[in-house]
Amino acid sequence: MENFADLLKVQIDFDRSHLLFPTIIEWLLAGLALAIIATHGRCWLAQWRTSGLRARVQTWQIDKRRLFGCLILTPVYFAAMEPVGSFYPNVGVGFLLTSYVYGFALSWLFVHDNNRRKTVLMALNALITPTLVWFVFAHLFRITLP
Amino acid sequence: MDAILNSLDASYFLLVGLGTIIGILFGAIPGMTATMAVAVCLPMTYALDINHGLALLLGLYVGGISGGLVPAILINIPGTPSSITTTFDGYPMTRNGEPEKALKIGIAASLFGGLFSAAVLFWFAPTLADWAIKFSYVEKFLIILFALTVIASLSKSLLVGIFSGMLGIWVSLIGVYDMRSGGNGELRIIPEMLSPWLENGFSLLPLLIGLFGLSVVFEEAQKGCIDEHAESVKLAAKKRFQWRVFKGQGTNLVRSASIGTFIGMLPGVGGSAASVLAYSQAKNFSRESEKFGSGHPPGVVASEASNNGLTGGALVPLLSLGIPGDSTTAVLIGAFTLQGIQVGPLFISENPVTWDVMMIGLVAANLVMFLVMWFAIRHIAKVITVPKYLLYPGVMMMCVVGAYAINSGIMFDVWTLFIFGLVGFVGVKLGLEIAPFIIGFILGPSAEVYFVKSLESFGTLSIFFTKSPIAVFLWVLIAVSVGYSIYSHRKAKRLAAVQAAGQ
Repeated sequence: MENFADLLKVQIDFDRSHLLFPTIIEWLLAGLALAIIATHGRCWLAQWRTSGLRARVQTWQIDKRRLFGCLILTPVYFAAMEPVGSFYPNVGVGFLLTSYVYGFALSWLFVHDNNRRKTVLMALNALITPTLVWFVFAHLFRITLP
Repeated sequence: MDAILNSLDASYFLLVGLGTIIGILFGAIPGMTATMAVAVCLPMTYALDINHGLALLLGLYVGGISGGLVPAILINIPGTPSSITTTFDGYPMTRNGEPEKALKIGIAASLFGGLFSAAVLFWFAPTLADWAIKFSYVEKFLIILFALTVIASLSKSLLVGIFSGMLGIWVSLIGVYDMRSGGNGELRIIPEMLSPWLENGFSLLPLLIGLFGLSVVFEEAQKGCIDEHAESVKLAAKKRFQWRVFKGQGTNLVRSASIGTFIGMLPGVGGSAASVLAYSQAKNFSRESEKFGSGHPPGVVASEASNNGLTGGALVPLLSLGIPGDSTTAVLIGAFTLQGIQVGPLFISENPVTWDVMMIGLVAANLVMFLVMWFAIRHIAKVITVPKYLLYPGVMMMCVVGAYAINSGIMFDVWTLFIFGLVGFVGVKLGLEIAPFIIGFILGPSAEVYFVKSLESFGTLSIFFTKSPIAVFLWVLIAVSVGYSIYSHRKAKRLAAVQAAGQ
């Protein structure tokens, strides 16, 4: 009994205490990953055999133009914000100008059956929304924007 | 009393009203949820004090949950996950020429559910907090462990649920072991070269906004951003609403609101579980169970009373234990952190004014929700026709403002938004469970401190089993939670096998 109690004893070295909990979590994650593979692996393998990767991806119904367009536009928008804002720092111009462009581009990317009326709506939305957001947050609430 | 009255100025109630209206609009638009409403509108609270900020957020929460009934009834698409069962009888009522009647039944039931859960919160949270004050680090760690097992047990797969929660904890540990919590200030998990950006780990709010805002936009982009609604919505009524429809519905209302409130108290459990349980119970106990699914008003009553019951219920563990009851209250934790307030057992006793003002805000939000939706439902219904290509650019901009401003202008927080937008989008496709991940991320740092400090103080792992009768009781709860989960998953598997064999 005493031996068992000794097994449960833990001495924590303060200098290395930052690694204790992350290490336990990493071991648990590895164990759980193995358990998931052991329980679900056979099922995945069977699915893989019956339908290949291409067929499985097709079932996700990916609208490539809109998805990849959005995934490219968004980081470009984020990356452009600070450099544009550096021309007039601390007034949120970077956010405002890039949001005009991004707002219109995203609407244009997402719209179906575009026509003149929709284009005018998108342009108005791309002008009004960022201006409103910028005015409320940067001016009324005095929140820092790029 | 004076302090409470000072906080309850005109602007307080204006913010409750504004939050509720914005929340209703978010909830009413398919694809936008109450969680998204709170996450996206968080930057609006940066310039407000805690009481006024909470007024806005509680309005958003109540409005967001309630607004989900509008598209559920009118176009058969749940506005929020918790209004899934509202479609079962709400939409058939619309097809039978009773859309306004169905909407008003839902609105009245929502008010009852919301007020019922607020009352439970008011009486129950302080009691639970008083009990939890006596907890040492050992019991606090076990409470977190219990919360994680409950969340995981309600996931599609127990193992994947636990894995997602553990992954959330692991991500939360990135950065230095905080010296303010008794850590040694050393960096872990990431290489030294990333420390300029990740010394303090990922910020909570950009992570939440990314998971609940950006990932939704990516998901919609993947599906092609198709608006699944009619060009116009008309509430032509063959039969008008009359209060007598609630005759004999007292038991259904109380049972459904209780189920919603109780499920809300379980950490991390989403609204759909509450409404599905309440709906199935209403059907099982009804003498006219065959009418459910064909436009039977008690179905709408059960669904809406339960999903609004969640609002107060989910705030109970948040305010008494510091554990969020659902993903929306997880975002609320961010708002408290922003104001320098730590939610947990001491919250109510240390912030009595905020607690009272919060309760008044919750009741006011429910009343505003009722009045706005009751009298303006014809106008609100039109919001579901606003096309997504006009909505999403604004959502993205609000997400950026929220992330950038959280630490007063750190561009890395905006990139955090993008990273976790992708994690949410791709992770769900790979089977990751977002709710356990979030709860794991929020509770991870506390779990570490409680675990390590318990071991430093007592020097043995056995302390987690022998510290007190409460610790033993918590282990029993953990065992029941895991045992129930294994049992229910096996049962579901057997049922699926029987159904497959029958086909």
